[in-house]
Amino acid sequence: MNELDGCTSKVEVAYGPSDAVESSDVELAKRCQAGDPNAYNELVTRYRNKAFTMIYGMVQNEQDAWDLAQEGFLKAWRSIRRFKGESSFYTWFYRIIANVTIDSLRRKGIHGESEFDDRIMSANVDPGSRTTPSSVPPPHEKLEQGEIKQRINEAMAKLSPEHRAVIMMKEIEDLQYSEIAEILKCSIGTVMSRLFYARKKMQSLLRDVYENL
Amino acid sequence: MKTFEEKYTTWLDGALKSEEASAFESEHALIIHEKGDFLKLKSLLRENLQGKSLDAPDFFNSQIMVQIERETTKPILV
Repeated sequence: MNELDGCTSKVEVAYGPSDAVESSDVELAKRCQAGDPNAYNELVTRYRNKAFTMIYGMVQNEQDAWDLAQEGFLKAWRSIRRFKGESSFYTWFYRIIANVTIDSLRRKGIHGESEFDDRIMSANVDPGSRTTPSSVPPPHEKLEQGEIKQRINEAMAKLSPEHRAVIMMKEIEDLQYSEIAEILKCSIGTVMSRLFYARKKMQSLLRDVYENL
Repeated sequence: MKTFEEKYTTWLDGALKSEEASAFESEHALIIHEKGDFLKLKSLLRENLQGKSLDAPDFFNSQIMVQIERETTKPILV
């Protein structure tokens, strides 16, 4: 039996077993491991938008997101023989694109601002403490959609690469703590801690936006 | 034992068991309102960051396939 037999993909779960025409991720991965680029083309089609959304959310630049998605997919192809089916293909692939994106942000010297940095904050946070007020005064009128997107981009840009990753994986992708920990190769406690500080920071930067919608 | 950050995060995500959630809320009564605040943030992020579409998706695939072909084609020795 092939080592990938018996594994189920999220795509199968999402669309149900009746969708028999579509190959599972694992079947496609097996064909890729046998050197079939057409199978990989199908996996790229399946995950390109999800990958792009995730990367774009982290880098806030379409061209960079495109390039990093390309790099991530090529890296995954070159490593496809290392996919053992211990996790879903999606989780395995996400680990690659998350690392590619985080490494790129680090190379650009992006570390985020120190406030709410989980590496330096004490664990003894005052439970009743409010997040710091945004430096942007509350608007008297509702923000336009373009301004809202701009404010979100600016807020994300103030997070460290690791905090951007957990925000995208939890708030947008709805991944479980354990899946995020597996993708980022860290403990579940670290995922929760990063989420705590990343959310606090986003709240401090965007409160006036979501309070005025 | 979970840190405050870990408990707070699981509470915010509704992932604490009901007894644990009740205990947490009675211990930290001042922060109960923060759940509503967080849900507004989550909703804002989802509306604005979800489902970003790739422009020229076929070209995206073709660029990857060209590179794969380039890497897998072995030079012919004369």
